[in-house]
Amino acid sequence: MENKVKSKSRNEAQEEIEYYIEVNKLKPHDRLPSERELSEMFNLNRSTLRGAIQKLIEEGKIYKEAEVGNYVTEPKMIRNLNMMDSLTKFVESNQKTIKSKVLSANIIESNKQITKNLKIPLGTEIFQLTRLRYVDNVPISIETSFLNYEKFPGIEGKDFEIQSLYHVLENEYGAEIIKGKEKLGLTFATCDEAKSLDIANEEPIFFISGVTTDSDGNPVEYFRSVVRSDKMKFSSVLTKE
Amino acid sequence: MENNEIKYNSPMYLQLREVIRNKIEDGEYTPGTAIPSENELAETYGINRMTVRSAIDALTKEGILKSVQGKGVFVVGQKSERNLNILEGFTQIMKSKKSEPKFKILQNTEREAGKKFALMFGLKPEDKIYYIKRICYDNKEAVSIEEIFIPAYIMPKFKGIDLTVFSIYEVYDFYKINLIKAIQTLDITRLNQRDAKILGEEVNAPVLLFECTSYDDQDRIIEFSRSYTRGGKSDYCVNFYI
Repeated sequence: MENKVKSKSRNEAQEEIEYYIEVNKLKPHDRLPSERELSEMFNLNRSTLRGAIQKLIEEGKIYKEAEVGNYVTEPKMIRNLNMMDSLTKFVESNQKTIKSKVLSANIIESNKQITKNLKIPLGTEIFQLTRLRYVDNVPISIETSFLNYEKFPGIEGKDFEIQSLYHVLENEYGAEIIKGKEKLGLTFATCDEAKSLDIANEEPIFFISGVTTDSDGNPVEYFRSVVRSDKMKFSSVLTKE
Repeated sequence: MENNEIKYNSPMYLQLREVIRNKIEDGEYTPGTAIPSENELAETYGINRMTVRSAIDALTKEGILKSVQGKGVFVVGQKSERNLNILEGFTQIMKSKKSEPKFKILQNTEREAGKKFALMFGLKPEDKIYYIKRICYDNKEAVSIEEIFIPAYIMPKFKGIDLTVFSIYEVYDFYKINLIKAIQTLDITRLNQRDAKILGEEVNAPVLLFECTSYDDQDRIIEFSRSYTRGGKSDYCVNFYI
């Protein structure tokens, strides 16, 4: 009987390469076999292979060094959103270092958006804190927090390059922060954001906004942040009961 | 509930109703698939179409059948009380709240698992998996492309199921698959040429990539899915605890 060899599709070729990386435990920045070697190993024609490699590059799984070869990408940090420990805790448990730079810290009047989220009257005094967060000295996110100043008098005197915001809120003001709800979407870095985050203008980034609350559901903090999508992704684990 | 026993001289629509009911209970008509058309049933049993329709209407009222304009009459399986919706996780929020999301199936095929999915699902590379690729529309606008991978052994009769009529979660319910855990990730990636065209975006346009691996109560992976959502068309929401 004739054993007909079906030529593999680009998707199958891509899966072969992903499997190769996984079972051979290739580490970030390890080099993949050459395209010629890969096409022989997996019995692929060159154009299918190139398509698969292109797709893996688009998906951020590998990167290409011109005229040298293809390399495994450093995986993005994964942040679990279900238990959104502050970034500080996340970083500590992943043996990374965190650094914050305060971009601005002001007392402002509540606008419509803040009013709606913190459930306070328009024009209420608000402490607005914007920090650039670094993980292992790489800028990762810009986080802006809005807090009802009446509840946290004197907070403008704290140094948030040294102290963690949640630590101050909980330990110095006795605030109870239990849970929250947030929304994630895609946006593009503005000029200023791109500069701070050390990425190109108009790069796609995550936009996150949300509210943290106490056990009765009263808002404590309204926050908005932008996060580099080339460095981080988010996860959520759902379980029944 | 009607406990009246069906006799040979019972009205024809009642007799046909019980015939269809029995075929569903015996598994000849499987959940998610279409039953024969009114014409076919009328011809098979030598009764007129109005009578067939009365039988179908009765079962539709009971929630056993679902009639879809222009598509046919489908068997609805038993639904469990609980489903994944009660779990918390990312919830997709469409920008427009006018209509229910609609799908167009681009591909619904059976394929070999291959090495990557064999490893993921605990199968042999030559075992079969189902691959579904579909477009999700919100208010007639293509919002996302979704790819779903399901090991074939989980639902051997999956092929005939019309996914434009039932959601995949409904189908899992029909087959008593109890999803208890899902691991989801949200990432940003870029569209390739083919998918960009489908979504009416430029090649390389950034999109939200949502991946979900679902587990059942026997710790089997039931499904792996990927969804590419156009930026600005939809956000994801999540509750968290500190």
